[in-house]
Amino acid sequence: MWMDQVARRSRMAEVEPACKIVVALAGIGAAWASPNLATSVLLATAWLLAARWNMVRPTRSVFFFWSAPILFLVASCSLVAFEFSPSAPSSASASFPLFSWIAWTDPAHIERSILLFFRGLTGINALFFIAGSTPLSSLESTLAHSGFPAWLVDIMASSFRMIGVFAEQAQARATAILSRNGWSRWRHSWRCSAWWLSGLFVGALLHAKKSERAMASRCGSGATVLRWHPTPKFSAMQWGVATIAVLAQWCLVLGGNFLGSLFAGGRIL
Amino acid sequence: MSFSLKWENVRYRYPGADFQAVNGVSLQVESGEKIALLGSNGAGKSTLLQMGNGLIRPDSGTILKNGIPIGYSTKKLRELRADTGFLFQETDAQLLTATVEEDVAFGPCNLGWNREKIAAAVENSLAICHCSLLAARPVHELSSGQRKRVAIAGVIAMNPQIILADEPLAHLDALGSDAVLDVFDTLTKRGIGFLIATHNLHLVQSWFDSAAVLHDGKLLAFGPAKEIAKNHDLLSRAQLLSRHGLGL
Repeated sequence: MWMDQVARRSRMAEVEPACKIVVALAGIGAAWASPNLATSVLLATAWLLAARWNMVRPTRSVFFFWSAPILFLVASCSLVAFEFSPSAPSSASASFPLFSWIAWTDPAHIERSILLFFRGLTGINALFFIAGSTPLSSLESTLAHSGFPAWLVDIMASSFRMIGVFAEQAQARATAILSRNGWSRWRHSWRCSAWWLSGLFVGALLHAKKSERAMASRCGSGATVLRWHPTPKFSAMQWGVATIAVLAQWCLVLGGNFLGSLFAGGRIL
Repeated sequence: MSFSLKWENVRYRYPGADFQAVNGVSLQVESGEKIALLGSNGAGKSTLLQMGNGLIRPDSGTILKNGIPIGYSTKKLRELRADTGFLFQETDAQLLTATVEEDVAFGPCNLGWNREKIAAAVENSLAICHCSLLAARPVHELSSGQRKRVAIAGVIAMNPQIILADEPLAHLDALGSDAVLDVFDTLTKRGIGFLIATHNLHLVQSWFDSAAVLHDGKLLAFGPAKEIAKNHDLLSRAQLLSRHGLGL
């Protein structure tokens, strides 16, 4: 999968995943603690630049991967920006009818949703940084040794494998339909899509049956397969860098708080 | 001590089928032996192999491990499957986890080995299959040949005495087939026995010690591989020679 390939050849691929996770989690925490828009924008930008710097020749599809949760975030923030009621109050700065209801907003709602957007964006960028710098195998091993329930990590690993199988099946079926001029006439293309989907569904069931048999042939007992990984060791330098990064983010938050209260009554816009 | 697995007059009919998939077959494979299981599509090869791993329980007849009938309790099946590795034709279904080393560790983890023993088995199996460099790679990034070798590594990590393989060279080019056969050669030298279902008569002549010919669920013949592969009457009867010159 392309994200894993990007992670394996990234600049920070060799850095201990636990350190990266600590820094990224601190970044997410700092974003939620940041009091104003300026600090949130700074943190979101810093994480995006860090994620981009870390990747070596990323493909365009990597940014599709990044943009998917952002679309979700935009949709969520829109819900925060707008209020829905039978009639708009006189203080509403914008309103429009939605069937028999009115969707309305005012500056306070918009300000809140923008702040929420940048906080969410910081989180997405921090996770994007981890995804682009940590191969899945290292991530699993680290999670399994960090007290994360092994069965949960195991499900994650199996899902990752099955996403690969599913993508291959989807691609193969789509190619088979295209090779026989499927989807060439829009009137019949819905039927091709139905074949494609039902084929995928049946294929998934058959694959599950075969996998179950393959598990049985190797004494499959439901045991998790991650316990045998060697325990990761962290160097002093890795922990030092992680600590500095965490402190830097919290200094930014505290500085933002201080400047905000000094110059704008708690708000820098 | 030599290990043996014996099918004794086994029969099996799939639920709802109106014919016997395996009909009174007796066969034995021992450590270090290389036996080919020849037969046309639907001859009963895969069913017979799966019986050897306890995946299918015969309707009648017995499977004997070292002369003792196998049991079908969870414990007995685990013991049987630790001794008889099974290599499926469709590698994709066999590779279950996200990365190569995890997949190879799957069997040993199920056997309840300790961490050091599992790590050693994973490392050793990957080295035998020339897959050490692939250890951390996600499975779906591998080529067909690499996947096949990883599947073999997953099987041999459990330290089996016999490997039952269902057309292991299917979908592989000459180079990929050579790589798999090299691994099999290494394992044979270590005393592992092979029972391999195949259609490839060239391979039967050049690599195997003996061959069994199945047709319509029955055992037509068993003997030295070279003799079987030259017996055109027998091969025609088993529908292994094509009218277009395929086969030999």
